[in-house]
Amino acid sequence: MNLIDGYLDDLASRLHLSSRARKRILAEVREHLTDAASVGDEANAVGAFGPAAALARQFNADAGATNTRRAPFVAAISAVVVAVAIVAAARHQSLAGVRPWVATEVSFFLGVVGVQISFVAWVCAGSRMSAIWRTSAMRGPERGLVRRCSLISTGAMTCASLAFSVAFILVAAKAAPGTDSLALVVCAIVMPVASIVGFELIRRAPANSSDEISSVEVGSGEVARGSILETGERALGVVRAHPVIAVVSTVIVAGWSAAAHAETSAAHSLPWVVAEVAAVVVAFIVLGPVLALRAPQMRDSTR
Amino acid sequence: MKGHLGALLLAVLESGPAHGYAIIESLRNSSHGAFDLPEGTIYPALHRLEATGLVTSRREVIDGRERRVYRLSAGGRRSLAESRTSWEAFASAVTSVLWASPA
Repeated sequence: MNLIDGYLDDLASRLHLSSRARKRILAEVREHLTDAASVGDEANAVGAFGPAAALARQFNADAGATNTRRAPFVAAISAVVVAVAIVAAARHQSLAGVRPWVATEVSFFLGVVGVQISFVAWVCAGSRMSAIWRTSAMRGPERGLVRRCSLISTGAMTCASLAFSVAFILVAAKAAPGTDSLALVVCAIVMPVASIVGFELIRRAPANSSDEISSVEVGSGEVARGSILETGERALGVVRAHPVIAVVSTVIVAGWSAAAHAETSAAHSLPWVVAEVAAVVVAFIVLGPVLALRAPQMRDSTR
Repeated sequence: MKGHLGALLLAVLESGPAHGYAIIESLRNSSHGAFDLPEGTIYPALHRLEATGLVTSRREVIDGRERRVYRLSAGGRRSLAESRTSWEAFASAVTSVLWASPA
């Protein structure tokens, strides 16, 4: 094996990109090194080209930034498909004339909690993405955070979809055979498929958060302080600064909403209110640091 | 150099389409060797310019070998003009401060 082949093998092993992108880069680098070696020797050509690790970091970071920009959009599209399926299924459920019972109510409640977590995670991803949208070089930890939040969003949406699917399939099984029960089953299949596809698309597009763009390319396009693109981050900053107030406010709104939508008497809605409040508190404790809602790790990182 | 590699590459491509090796040669000659970058550095920058629509590329046969050749796009010309304007303003301001007569 000559030096150029060895360099290309080293570079190939370090590139975390699609096979198409990797093939293009390797072809271009081979062309360059062959040209350089034809006027000197292979050792000089490879030496002047720079370390494979540094070059791979550049490409990985760029690909990671592109993937990061896409992730919240993929999560949003997947959520819209799920939402349309839920609305359609709810309409057919009422047409099917089957009244909900405990099993469907529990499934529906779990689905609602999943949607709430998905929404909060998406807001975290979207607000961070918006704040760093125009930066020339997205830092690795920021790419990692946006991807993580997008994954949690689609993951929670997948759990919600599965819970809703169970509820709608139970209703379809009880309903008289017909177009409404068939539509319920179709919606019950579409929901998890859409959210799993979204999750997989994000999961397979790495943020390459351990790779950074070279300082040569950093220096322009930063978001101006006070930009409208930072509105979401400023709002989340309030949550980070006052976590107890944020949780108590959310608990009040979520508890009131659960009581209002329980479709039963105030006394009978109490278990749903308690469960909703518990879900909010547990989710904030468990997911708060992961979504950078509690930990100070991402503060001031838009600069 | 920080943050200006893209503009330098656009300036090199203004004189005509070129492949990666020719671009780095041209950059080196134009700067009289002042920009001693690892040659590989230009490829991520070229790909970034292509992703933002400032350059286009396609494979062409040159001297009997297939190469990827980069071209300046209309957006790239506009961006280059903007870079020149902002650089002139910056350089002029720095020059006027550095050569200002003591009061």
